[in-house]
Amino acid sequence: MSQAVSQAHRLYLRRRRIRWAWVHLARWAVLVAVMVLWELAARARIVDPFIASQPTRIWETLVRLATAGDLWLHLGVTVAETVAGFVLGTLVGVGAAIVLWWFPFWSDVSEPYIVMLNSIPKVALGPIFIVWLGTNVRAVLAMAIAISVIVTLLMVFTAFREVDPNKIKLLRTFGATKTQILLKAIIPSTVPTMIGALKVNVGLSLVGTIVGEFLASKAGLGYLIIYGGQVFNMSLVMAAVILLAIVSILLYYVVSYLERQVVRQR
Amino acid sequence: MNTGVEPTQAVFSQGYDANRDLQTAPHVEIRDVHHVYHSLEGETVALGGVSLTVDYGEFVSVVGPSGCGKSTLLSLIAGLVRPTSGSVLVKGKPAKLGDPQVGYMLQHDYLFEWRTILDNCLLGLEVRRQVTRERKERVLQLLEEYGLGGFAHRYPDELSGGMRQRAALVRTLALDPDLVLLDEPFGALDYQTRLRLEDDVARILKGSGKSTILVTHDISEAISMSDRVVVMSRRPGTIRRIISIDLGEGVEGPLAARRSPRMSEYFNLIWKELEE
Repeated sequence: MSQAVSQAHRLYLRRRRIRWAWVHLARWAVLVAVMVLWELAARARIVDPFIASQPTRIWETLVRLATAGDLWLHLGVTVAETVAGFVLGTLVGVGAAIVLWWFPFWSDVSEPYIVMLNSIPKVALGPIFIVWLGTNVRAVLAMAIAISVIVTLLMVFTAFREVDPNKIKLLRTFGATKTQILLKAIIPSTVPTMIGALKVNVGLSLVGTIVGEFLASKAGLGYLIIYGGQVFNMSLVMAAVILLAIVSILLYYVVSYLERQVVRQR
Repeated sequence: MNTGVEPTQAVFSQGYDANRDLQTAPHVEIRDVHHVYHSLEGETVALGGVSLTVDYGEFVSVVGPSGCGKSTLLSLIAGLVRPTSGSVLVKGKPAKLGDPQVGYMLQHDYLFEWRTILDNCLLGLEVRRQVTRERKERVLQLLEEYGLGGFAHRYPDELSGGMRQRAALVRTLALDPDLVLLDEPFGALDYQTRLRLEDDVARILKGSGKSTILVTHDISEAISMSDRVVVMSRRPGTIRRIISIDLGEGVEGPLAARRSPRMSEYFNLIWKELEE
């Protein structure tokens, strides 16, 4: 009997594995097909390679950038700005949430302002940052932070307020101080939210960094994209966009990996 | 308020007579307490003049309809809220929040899911910065005694409801309080677990000579565990009657008590009080 069950189960597992193998195969096939069609269309002049570029030209551009060393500079600048932006944005956001939790009166006072700041498209603040901070890395960083800090603040502060009041009551019956309540109940119970904020912020900070680089920079993938567009070098634009896609996926995986490490420790 | 049942020295508290004579004040003394809650919707009179004393080593239950201010009574004794008028004295002094000699156990365990069972049980000591090797050993020993020895380093979500509530009890007892406040601590458990835990808790608390105040809506639970049962009225809560429980010689522990022939007499008595 158990033999029959395990055999049926083995069959089931095999069918699942085969299905997944097909899914992976199809994913690669789609990518290859798009590239091949794009290349053929460009060669047959169905699309204008000057406007749409073509895979071989993009590849050549990437190789040229890599051998000239520019590739690593631009990649490095964008990654560094994004990481600095989302780490600072998260820290400042969590810090502000702690301040608001500590002073309920001021959290009520600041509520309409925070709602307003949250709904402003942060990109609109670009020119202000440039005038205040100059056309340099500082303006880019300010953009990257601005775009993630309010979201973090709102996410974390909401989580703070949703901590079970009975847990706080329990600590109070033990004679806990406000600092102890913060450190022993509020922060530990919202760690998952903070990691969630980190995950959201990776994407947001990358947006902020690229927008910042559009407006005020001399290096980075955002700079490459704007520059390529201005000189009508679509291969450069496409190459930078592809690099950007790879960077965003890698950053997301790094944060997911960190999340798993933290979850395992708990 | 004659109950028709003479107050008797419960078999469980024999060892405390000598102790009691040394004390001048009762362990807990509530004098004509009124309590009003305010909210935007209006004000609620939770307690309308309650007076009650609890002696050292005594196990007192408070029963009453929902919203009669039973839990408020415990919050007042724990010092979580101050009475609107009247006074609440613990060992002759006004109730104070964070008194290490008062242990408070809530209906749900509220174990911190990111801490192991041992770390949860050390929470009170940690807050008071009193974690030492000896105290940790003692908490481990308590866990062992209450059947949680193998679970000290597990997380709360790996434990059943009954085990979690036992862990919450160890957390309460870790500071070695001499007054334990229980706010419907068995309410969320299934019936079998509940009976077994009642038995354990009664044995543990009475065996160590602690004074206990149990708030419950379960009449049988109140009768089977207590020396006295306080019956409260509908809101605003006042004390309708205080009934001393004597189930007879040799009836030890709530499980045995539930089988006692006097159980139904007391049950009917309290039921009638609540109905009126």
